[in-house]
Amino acid sequence: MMGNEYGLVLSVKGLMRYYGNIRAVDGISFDVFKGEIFALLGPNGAGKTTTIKCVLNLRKKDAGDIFLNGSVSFVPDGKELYGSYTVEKMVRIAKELTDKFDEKKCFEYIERFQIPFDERVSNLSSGQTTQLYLSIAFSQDAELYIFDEPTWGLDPIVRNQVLEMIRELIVDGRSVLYTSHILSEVEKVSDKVAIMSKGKILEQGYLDDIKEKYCAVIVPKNSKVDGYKYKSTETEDVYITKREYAISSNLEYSDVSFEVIFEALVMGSNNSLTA
Amino acid sequence: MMYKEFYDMKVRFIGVIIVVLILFFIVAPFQKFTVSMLEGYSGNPQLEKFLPGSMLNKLKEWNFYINSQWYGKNFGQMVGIIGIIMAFPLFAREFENETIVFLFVRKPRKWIYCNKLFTGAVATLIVMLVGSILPAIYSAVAGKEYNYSVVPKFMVHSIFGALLWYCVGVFFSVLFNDQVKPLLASLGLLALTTTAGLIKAIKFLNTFPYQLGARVFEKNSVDLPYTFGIVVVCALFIWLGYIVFERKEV
Amino acid sequence: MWFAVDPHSSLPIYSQIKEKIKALILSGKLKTGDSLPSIRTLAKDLGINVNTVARAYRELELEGVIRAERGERYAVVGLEDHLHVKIKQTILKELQNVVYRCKELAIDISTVLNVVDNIYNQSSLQNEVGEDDGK
Repeated sequence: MMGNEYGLVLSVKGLMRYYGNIRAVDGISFDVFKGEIFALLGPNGAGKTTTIKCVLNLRKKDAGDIFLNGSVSFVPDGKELYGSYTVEKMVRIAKELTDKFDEKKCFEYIERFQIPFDERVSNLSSGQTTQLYLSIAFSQDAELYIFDEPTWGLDPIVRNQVLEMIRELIVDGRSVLYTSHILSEVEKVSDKVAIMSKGKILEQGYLDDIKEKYCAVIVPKNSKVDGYKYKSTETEDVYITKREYAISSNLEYSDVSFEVIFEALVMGSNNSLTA
Repeated sequence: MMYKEFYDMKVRFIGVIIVVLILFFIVAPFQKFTVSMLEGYSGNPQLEKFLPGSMLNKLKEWNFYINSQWYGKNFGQMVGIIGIIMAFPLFAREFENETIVFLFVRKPRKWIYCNKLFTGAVATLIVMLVGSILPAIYSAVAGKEYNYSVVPKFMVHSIFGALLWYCVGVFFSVLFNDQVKPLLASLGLLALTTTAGLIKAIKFLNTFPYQLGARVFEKNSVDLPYTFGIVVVCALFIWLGYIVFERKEV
Repeated sequence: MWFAVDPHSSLPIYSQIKEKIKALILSGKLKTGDSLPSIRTLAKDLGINVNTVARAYRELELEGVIRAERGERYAVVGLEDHLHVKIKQTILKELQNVVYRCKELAIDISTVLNVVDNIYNQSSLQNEVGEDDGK
């Protein structure tokens, strides 16, 4: 079920994209394999959307290679659909334009989400528009599904429905690449994660491996530690370090949640740029 | 895609057709009225400047009346504007609303460009055909004596005049990211070329004489060199539009 | 089969699944030869990613705790004695840590022993109610 070397669906190597002096994407590389869910996780402005747009050739890249092996189904950040169409017409137009589109399935999803067929798209709430866009995207038979903040603006129950739908996709060998700044969601659904901040990928790999890779150590204040400073109390510093390092340095360590690892890495990247 | 594009154009297509029909029916049935009204003003020196006596007599003749009022005025003046109206939102609307992304991830850019260009051109063509044929239909129905042989000649001028400005509109539609700028830029260029044509050396820039079918009036023939020039300019704008479209980022 | 998993825990979900399954075996709720749900079914029931369940099953299989069968089925093999011991050792270490804490907090040893007593004797108390065991 896990992807293998031969099941490479997307490969990004050394991708760079600048806007004047700003390096929106500053040399990132990652791979998405068949049958896995890959999350690009990071705060707003990290460069996630720009990365996705470069992959889809919606924006040009300044450097790097992108290898895409298969058809793509995409849901953009803004979920823009044709406002003057009714929901039903929107689906029919999707059918006209999209390869391997299952209309019947789409109408089922829309019914499940309880969106009225004869409502104009511009009259739908933003949550409903997202649900409609997702219905259209899930009804397309593609090798790679790319979602840019797919659950943004959805209420918790619908959000879980969507996450369940995303999990279903990989059962038959499809792949998902999605961006999010909501860490708790990424934890529920992804196989692999790339933590992105300020245009760079700080850490990537299987989510489970990342959890096991890092730990927290408490050291006397101002000690020299190879890691990311997480907190400072009056007398002590808390660092997030690699478990290997903690063991080899004979430091007492404890498990940490992914959220803490994420925070430490992102804060670390913020500091290193101002240093 | 054809279906979607026609559907998206629906409002302006129908709107333009209605305007064309209105413009026609404010001249066609009113020959007698117009002539008698002008006769009432004859002798007025102001009017003599604009309307020499000989012309007033010519207007009594149906052929001259309908051709001069329709191709030479109401319809002829609209030719370029119709082309611009059909073109300006074609790409710009989708860029403005960012729905262009929906298309970009499903079809190749070349396909999208050709599709939109083609359906818009067909719609423009239909409008111009309808407009050009109205005098003939009206004459036949109303039992007027009409020289039908001029119709194809005026038709060529109307169609190519509209297509020229359609291509200009398409280019600006691709270039900008909102709908207002292509409209203003196209109309601006129309105004600019028209006024530039006052300079004798570059008089060809003024497309209005062509749109109004001046050559057909003067020599009863189509202005072939100018028409050919239009085709070249259209090809240029289409090609430039494609280059911009291919490189465009969202 | 259902049990709660915590995606936000510092313990990876696949590890949680492994431990839960081992616990079920230890407590006797899963016996040797029993069928486990397919990867797909368990993933759906627990509301988690199939790959996560797949990894748990794969590692349990490598450890000899479960065995893949025809189709998509998995069967329980059982916990080897040394695994039993290992699990018991882990729990006992936890108990040790708790008792140290009690000592640190100066809790009386008799209080601690009472707690142990109550828990262990709960079941035997229930036995005595009905009949005389003849102990």
